[in-house]
Amino acid sequence: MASQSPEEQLEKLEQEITIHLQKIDSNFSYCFNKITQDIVPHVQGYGEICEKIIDSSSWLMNMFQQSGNIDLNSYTKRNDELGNNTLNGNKISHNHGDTLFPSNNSTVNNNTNSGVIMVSKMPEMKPTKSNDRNSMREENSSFRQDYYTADITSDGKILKVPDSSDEENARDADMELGSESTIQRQNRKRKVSLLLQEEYGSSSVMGSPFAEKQSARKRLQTTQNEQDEVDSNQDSDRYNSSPMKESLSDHESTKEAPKPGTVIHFTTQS
Amino acid sequence: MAGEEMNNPYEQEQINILDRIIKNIERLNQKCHYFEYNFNRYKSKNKNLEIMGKLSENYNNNLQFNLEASGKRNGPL
Repeated sequence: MASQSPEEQLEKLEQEITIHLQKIDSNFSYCFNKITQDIVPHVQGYGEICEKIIDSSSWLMNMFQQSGNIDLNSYTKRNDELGNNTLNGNKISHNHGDTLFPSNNSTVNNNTNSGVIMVSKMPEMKPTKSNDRNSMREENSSFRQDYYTADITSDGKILKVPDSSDEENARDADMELGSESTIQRQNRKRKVSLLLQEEYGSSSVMGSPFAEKQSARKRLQTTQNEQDEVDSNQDSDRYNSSPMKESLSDHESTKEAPKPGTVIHFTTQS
Repeated sequence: MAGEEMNNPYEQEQINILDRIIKNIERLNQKCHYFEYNFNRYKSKNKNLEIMGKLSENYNNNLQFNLEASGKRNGPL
C-alpha cells in the first residue's frame, strides 16, 4: 500500500525472504532425513535379500554357464567398468556390443562344420584325401572311435601299434587312412591292448577279454592272500574305507614297472 | 549507518539460514551419491539374476513348444 513507508516495505520483504529461506532449509532437511531413514535402509535390505537369492540360485547359474560355454560374471563386470557406477560421479557411456561369451578362444568351437566340439588335449582329426562330406564323416567316425576307445593315454596321445609290427598294419598303411574297415580297426585295438598288457601287466585296459581274465585271476590270488591276513589288518581296514584294496603280496602286484630296455612306441599327432 | 543497521538484524539471520541450507544440501548430496552407488551396485549384481530368469523363461518356452510339437504334452493334472 502506498500508506506504508518504504522502510516498512523493506522490512516486510526482508521478513518474507527469511521465511522463504527457512522453508527451503526445512524442505532440504526433510529430503535428507527421508533418504537417510527410509530409503537407504530399505535398499540395503533389498541388496541383502538379493545376495541370498543369488547364493541359493547359483547352481542354476553354473548349469547355464556350463551348458552354453558362457560366463555371466565377465559380462556384468565389463558393463560395470564401461558404465556409470562410480562414487565420484564421472559418467562414461555404455558399450552395447558386449556379448556373454568370453574373449579367449579355448571355449570357442573352431570346427563348426564337423558337429564335434573340440576339447583341449584331445587328438586332432586325421587328414583325408576324399571330398569334403565323406572326409568329414570319416573324420568324425575315426575321431569318435579314438575318443571312445582306450587308445588314449592320460596325456591325450593316441596309442597306435607301430607299422612294422604286423603285416596287416603294413597293408593298412598302403590304403587310404580313412577307409579302414571296422574289423581291421578292432584288430588293431586288440593288439594295442595286448601290448599294454605285456608291457605293464595292467588290468585297466578296456576291450580285451584276455586281459580281463588275467586280471580276474590275479584278483582271486590277491584276495586269497588277503584272507590269511584279515585278522591282523582288520583295524586298519576299518579306517581305510576306499574301494581300492592294496595288494599285500609284492610279487603279485597288478602293476609292474616296465623292464629296463623296453621301447614303447607312442605315435603323437601334432 | 542507520540504513545498515536496518538491514543487519534480518541479514544476519538470513546469513545463518543460508549457512544451514548449504550444509544440508551438502549432506543431502553425499547421501544421494551413496544411495546411487549402492543402488547401481545391487542393480549390477542382479543383472546375473535377470539373465538367468530370461534363460529359464526361454527354456520353458522351448520346452512347451517342443512338447506341443511332438505331441507329448499332457494336460494339467
